[in-house]
Order: sequence, then C-alpha cells, then structure tokens
Amino acid sequence: MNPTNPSTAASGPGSGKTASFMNARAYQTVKRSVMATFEDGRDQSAGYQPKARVTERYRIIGFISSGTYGRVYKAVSRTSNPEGIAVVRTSSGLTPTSSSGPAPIEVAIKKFKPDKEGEQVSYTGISQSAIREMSLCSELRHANVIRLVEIILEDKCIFMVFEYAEHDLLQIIHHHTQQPRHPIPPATVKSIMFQLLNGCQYLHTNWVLHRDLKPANIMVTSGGEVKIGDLGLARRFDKPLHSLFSGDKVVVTIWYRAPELILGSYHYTPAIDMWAVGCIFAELLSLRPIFKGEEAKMDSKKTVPFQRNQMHKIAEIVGLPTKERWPLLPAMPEYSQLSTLSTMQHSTHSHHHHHQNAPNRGYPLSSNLEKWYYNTINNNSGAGSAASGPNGQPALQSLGAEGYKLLAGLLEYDPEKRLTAAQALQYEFFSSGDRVSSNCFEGIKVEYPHRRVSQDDNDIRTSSLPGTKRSGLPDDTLLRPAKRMKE
Amino acid sequence: MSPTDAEAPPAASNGDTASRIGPHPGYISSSNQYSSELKIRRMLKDNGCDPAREDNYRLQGVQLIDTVRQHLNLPVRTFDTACTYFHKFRLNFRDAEYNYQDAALASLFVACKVEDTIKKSKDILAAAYNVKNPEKPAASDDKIFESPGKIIIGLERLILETIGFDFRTRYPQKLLVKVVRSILGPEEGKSFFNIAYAMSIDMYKTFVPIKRTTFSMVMALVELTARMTGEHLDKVQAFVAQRRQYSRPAVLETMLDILDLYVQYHKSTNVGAQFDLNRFMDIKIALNTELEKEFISRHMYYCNRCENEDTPPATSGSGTSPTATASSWPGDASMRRTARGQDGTMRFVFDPEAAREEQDTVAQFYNEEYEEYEVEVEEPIPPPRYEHAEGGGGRGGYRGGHGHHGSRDRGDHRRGGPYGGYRGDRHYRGRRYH
Repeated sequence: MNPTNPSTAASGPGSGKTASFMNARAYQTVKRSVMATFEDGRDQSAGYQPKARVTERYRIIGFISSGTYGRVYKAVSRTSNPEGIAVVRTSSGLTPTSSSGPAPIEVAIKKFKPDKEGEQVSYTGISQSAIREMSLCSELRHANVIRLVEIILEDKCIFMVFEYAEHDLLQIIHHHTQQPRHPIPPATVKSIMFQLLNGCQYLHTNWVLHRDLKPANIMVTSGGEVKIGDLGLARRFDKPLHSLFSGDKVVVTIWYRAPELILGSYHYTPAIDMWAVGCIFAELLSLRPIFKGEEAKMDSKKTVPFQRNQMHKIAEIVGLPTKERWPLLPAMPEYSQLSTLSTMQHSTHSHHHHHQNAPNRGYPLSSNLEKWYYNTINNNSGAGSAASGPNGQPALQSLGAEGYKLLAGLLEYDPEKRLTAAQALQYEFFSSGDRVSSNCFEGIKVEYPHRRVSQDDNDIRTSSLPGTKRSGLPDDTLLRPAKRMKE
Repeated sequence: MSPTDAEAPPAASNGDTASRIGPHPGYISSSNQYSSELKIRRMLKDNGCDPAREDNYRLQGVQLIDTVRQHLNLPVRTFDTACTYFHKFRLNFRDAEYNYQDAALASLFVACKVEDTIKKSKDILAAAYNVKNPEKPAASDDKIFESPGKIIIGLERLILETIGFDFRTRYPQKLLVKVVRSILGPEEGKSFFNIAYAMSIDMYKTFVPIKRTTFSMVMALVELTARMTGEHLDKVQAFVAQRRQYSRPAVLETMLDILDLYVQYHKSTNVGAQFDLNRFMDIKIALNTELEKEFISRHMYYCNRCENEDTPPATSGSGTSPTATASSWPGDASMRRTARGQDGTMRFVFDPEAAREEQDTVAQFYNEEYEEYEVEVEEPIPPPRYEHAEGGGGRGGYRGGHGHHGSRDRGDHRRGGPYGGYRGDRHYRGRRYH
C-alpha cells in the first residue's frame, strides 16, 4: 500500500562491499520497509492521514518545560477515566460520555527528542537514558514516586505519560521568597521531608539511585503528596558492569552534588541521594540553595574539572573534610585538590568573613552547620519577626534540635556515616512534635500558584526544538546552573 | 478520521454507523514475558513462515549475535537480552519484511542500551562486517556502514514496539553458576559447568528463553548436561527434590526443545559436535518415555483442539459472511502489524489489569452484533487456493490465503467500517491461550 518511496539515496547499496555484506534481495525489501519508517506516513496512498495520534487520546494544555531529554507538556485525557472509558448504559446502546463522568485526568507528557550519535544531527534512535527511565518507571510503583501511566509510540516520537503534579518544590520555595518573604510552615517541611525520604527509601531498597534529586525534580500534587520525579538520570546499582563513575561522568546538579562525587569517587552509593536530600532540607528552611557554587565547565577535551567553587561553598559551612571525620578521604582521586582549595580561597576571597576559626585555612575547622541551622530557623523570614508562629516565635523554631540532627546526619561528609533513608525516617524529627501528615499542605489556607503552563508552544507535534527555557522568572534562586551534562 | 473528528465530542446522533462513536483509542499493548509453544506456533503461522527457513534464520541470527558480541567483548547478559528481543521480533514480523541479519544486529543494538554496554550502531555493523571479512577489516566510521546504520535504527523502533517497552529479560547463566556450584562444589563442577554453559548459549537458538522461567531453564540445562555426560544425575535429582518451585513438565519440555535443536542442527551448535548424535537420540527417547508414563504432554498449555481449529478468518469463513468472521476474530488479520505499518499509534500500558479493563470496555463499542438467520444462496465454488489452505492446513497453504487478506485490508483499517475491529489481539496480549 505504501509504494516504494526512496526520497533519499540513504539506503542504496552503493558499494560492492555493502552488497556482499547483505543479501541483496532481502536488502531491497528492507530498504523499502526502513524507508517507510522514516517516511512518517506522509505519502500514504489514500489521502490525508492524521499524524497527531497522541492528541486523540490527550488534549494538550500547554508546554511545561524542556531539558536535555526533550520537552514536557501538560495534557488531559480525553476520556474521563485514566484506564478506561466512562460508559453510560442507555436503552439505545452504549454511549461514551464526557459530561457525567469524573473530571478528565491530568497528565504530564514527556516527549523525547531523538538521540544524537556524534556530531551530526541525524536520528539515531532512542537514547539510553530514555530506556533507563522507561525500564525503571514501568517497574516502580510507590506513592512517593511519580507514576508512569503509559508510553505512546508514534511514527517518530516516543511519549511517556506520567501522572500530573500541580507543584514542585522549586516552585513552592520560590513562592515563599516572594515579598513578604515568609518561611514554609514547619508542618509542611516535615511532611515534605518524610515523604521525600519515604520515596528515597523505596528507590534505594529497590536498588535504584536517582542521581538528580533537586527541588525542581520533587513534585507535589495538589493533594499535598510528594512525588519524586524525573528518573532520567536514575539507574540500578545492584550489578553494575563498570564502576558507576565510568558510565555517566557527571551526575547530580552541581548544588546538590555530594562531596564524594566532587572528589571524583569511582564508585558511589545511595548516599549521594541522601546528600541531595540534605541540601533540599536546608533549602526548604532557608529558601536558598545552601551550597550555591559555580559550576566549572568541562574543557574542550571533555575532561571533568574539579568543582573547586562548589567544594569551597560546602567547606564554608560544614568545614573542610578531614581524615578523622572521613577515613577514606585520602583515597579520593581528587584528594590533592583539597589543599589547593584553601590557598585559592585565600587569594580570591581574602575579604571573606569566615576566617575567625582558622585564620590559616580560611575554613572553619569544625562545622558551622549548627550555627547556620539556628540562624536560619530563628531568623528565617529575612523580614524579621514578620512571619512568626502562634506565640510570636519564628515559626521554624518548632523544628528545634531534632531538625538539626537530621540535617547534620544528611550532610555528613563520610558517605558511610551519612544517614540512609531508612535511618532518617526513624529520626525523632518525625516522631516528635506534631503528627506527620501525608498531605504536606494540611492546615495551609492559601493555595500555591499553579504550574506555569505556556500557551505559545503547545504544539506537541513540532519536531524542531527551539532553545526554549523556562520563561522569565524574576528571583535569582530560580536561575539554575547549567543543565547536567552527560558523557 | 480527521483531527476535527477527533475533537468532536462523541455523539451517537451525528452518524448512522457505529464508526461515529468517537476516535479509536489506539492500540493497546501490555508486554508479556512468557509465551507458550502454542502461541509461538500460531504467531509463526500467521507470519506465513516456512518452517525450514524459519529455523535457519533463527539459528543464523543468534549465531550472528553471538559472534558479534564476542568480537565486541560484550557480556553474556547482553547476548541473552539481544536474543530474546530477536525472537520476539521475529514472531511479530514477516520474514519478507526485513533481513534477519539486520534484525539480529538491531536486537543487539537495543540490548546494548538496555544492558549498559552501549555501542554505536556502526560499531556493531563494523564488528559484524569484520567478523565476516577478517582479511580486509573496516573502521566503524567507514561510509559503507552509513545506510545499514539507518536500517538498524529503523528496526530499533519496531523492536521497542515488539517488546512493548518491557525491557526485562532473563539471565540463566548467573543462576546456572550458582546451581552447579551448590550441587557439585566450585572445583568439581568446572568441567560440568563448561558444558552446561555452552549449552545455555545453544539454548538461545531455540524459543526456550521466551517460554521458560530462569529456574526451569537452568534445571533443564543441568539435568541435560548430567544426562549427556552420564555423571551426577543422582545429585541433580536430589537437588531438585528439595525445590518446591521445580516444575517437571516445564523442565521436560525445555530439555526436549534443546534436544530437538541438537538432533536437527547437530553441526550448528556448540555442544552438539562434542557428543555422538545417538547419545542425544537416546536421551530423547528416555525423556519421551517419561512423558508417556507420567501423562505429561510434550508442550505445556497445549491444546490440540486449538492447534487444529485455529484457522484464521481468511480461510475459515469461506465466502458466506466475511464481516461476521472478521468480528468474531477481532482485529486479527487486518490489524496485523507489519514492518510497513508505521502509521498507527501504539500505547504501552504497564498495569495489565487496567489494560484489560480498558480493552473490555472499548471492545463493546467495536463489537458488532449480528442476528443470525439463514438464507440459502447459490455459492460459487471457492478458488482452489482457499481450499488448499483450509484442507491442508499446511503452513505454506495458509500463508497464501493469509498474505492476500492482510495486504488487501491493511492500510484502510482506520477508515474502514467499524475501525476494522479492535486490536485485542491474541498474538499480542497473549492472555487467552490456555
């Protein structure tokens, strides 16, 4: 039905070499079928064929965001039931209905852009990270991990359909920085942390490392359920063939990157996710990334640079790591860089005010984290006592010493001593004080602003990917460092 | 169906036929990890496979995967996955639509991504080429690999479709090591293990890996090795006696499948050449005797009635009521995927329960009900081709009739009255066999 349509000479068995390589007769057949694969059904003999098949099932509301992988759209299902069609039985037969059923189901559709092999921009099939994400998501199921509803395969595109979450932590944090700056209520912080750790514990006990935990990837539904999202960088760690490092050279967005990664560890563990959780916890309290370093770019040879500035930011607050606190520290490939860190820090930041404890090194010998924590919870609004608890106390004070213990346990240098998700869930932080709610918005009267869905680019069909970024957000905390890079 | 139709709210009033219900929700697919022998045969039949050629392509394809992966120093688990995808792919597409070598290499290409041993398509093609032409090796950036590279990538999509984005496969070798060690100990088991391991590679030339669990595969390999070498059969049996998950019918079927391979294709296997053909025959006879004694059928979940009755609409319906037959066999022939049928959207649902529910609900809309009444008509003598297909039931004859039907109906199924049936496809969902 589809006549041979070799629009290009792409698959012509030109050389004798090729002809010997393949059986010539079968080759012709393949040529035809493969060309059809690329033809996208344009020249189907019988007139117009709709291409937008995904749109028959989902109505695209708008564009949410884009990344290295592709783009994400918000959509609603055209049927009113996610896995079935609402049906009304009438005397005259069966009629599907969209009016009397429940509200249409909202989803987030992730459209992968084709992978590139080498420099030239030609379609080279599905990317390995897409395969990883699909194989993981299709097997994982947990209340605190975003659920994959289905995968839709079209002529040239692959769509992953996820359950929709109205908010994410980045958005929520951003909302609280808006004037007047007001802290996230402690009950919300607690609930978010509990659910986040719960999701992590699920992933880790199932041998999955997330490797890109950051506020933007932690979704929150309008019902206050926290869902870990974007498993595009996640992988199993139970039986790696190579060290994890050799697979993807750079993992985790720089501000949330664990010290063992910065120091070039060849192998790593779920502890890297727990460091990121610690950073997220700190950010929920202070509304700023706790270690906001500048990323050193890869040079032209694609060697991974030492992230000096990030290490510096960490050391400023928790002190430089020592052999005593982290016995395996000298075994780290980039260990020698640590000594250069203090000298550099002297020359470029000599005016810095963190000198009092160790005038020769420029970093506190012991951790300043406790100080940071109490400063934050006592003075968390930035607007003085504008946002206070019921008794005139700054609201976050109720998190108390338990909160510090959790934070310090998560931001522990030695990955072996760092809290695991299971341990963290047992902390008194969660068992003391108010009961942890499974709805992190419980008791909050105002509703957070909804996810920004842009209308100017809601054509899920466009194959070109203009350099769209998350559209203009005023606060600098939202200017994320450059996207993670892969090998 | 134009986009505006799709936009329009479903209404019974705007059309006089069932086809106006609304947009067809697309073809749903949930993966299935296991297939029965019956289902495999049915799928091969529907593809119009010539049995002898089918065997050849299967053996040579797996052989190609094996040599290329060894050339590229890829681990056995990549091989396992590649072969599994290759088998599944071949069950879903007609031989005529692709070159088996391309399919084998494309399967390896996908497997590499899945197993974290990523290779570029051209690296794989170059390896395949260099294995064949060791005297004049070519680099992977050679121009000759450009167009075949595109073919591999084109086939990749079809492989994803075939496996339904379920990337899971089984790796029997790992369990094999453990079982042999626990039966014989690490030292004594070595030579035994070498044979069993080679046999596990041979096993991928059969359909066993898409039929059996890891444990059944391993126990079949171990017992067969014991029988081949004439050693340790008692220990194996003692080991088996302690395992509650052991299924004798499954293991028997698997051993016989592997033996069939050795008997028929003695030369194109690793282990076959190491033993006398008579030895395989003797074991086969012993196992068949066991089957008979225990009243176990050669294949599990087999049903002779289905096998015989299982004639497709093109042949079974004869000429009288083509529509009725088509609907009684929903979405079979006209909905068969072919390598050319790229136009439909496929959906992959991961919750089988949900998929089933949706399928049942949707089916109600596309199910046509007929009132049966008898009318006497003069029936022309059907063309001999059909007679042959129906009467003979041979694969060749069947192929003729079916091929005709498929090529005629494909392509206009979406416009055609009532959506050409719903793809509740037996081949695909694999739930209805018994």
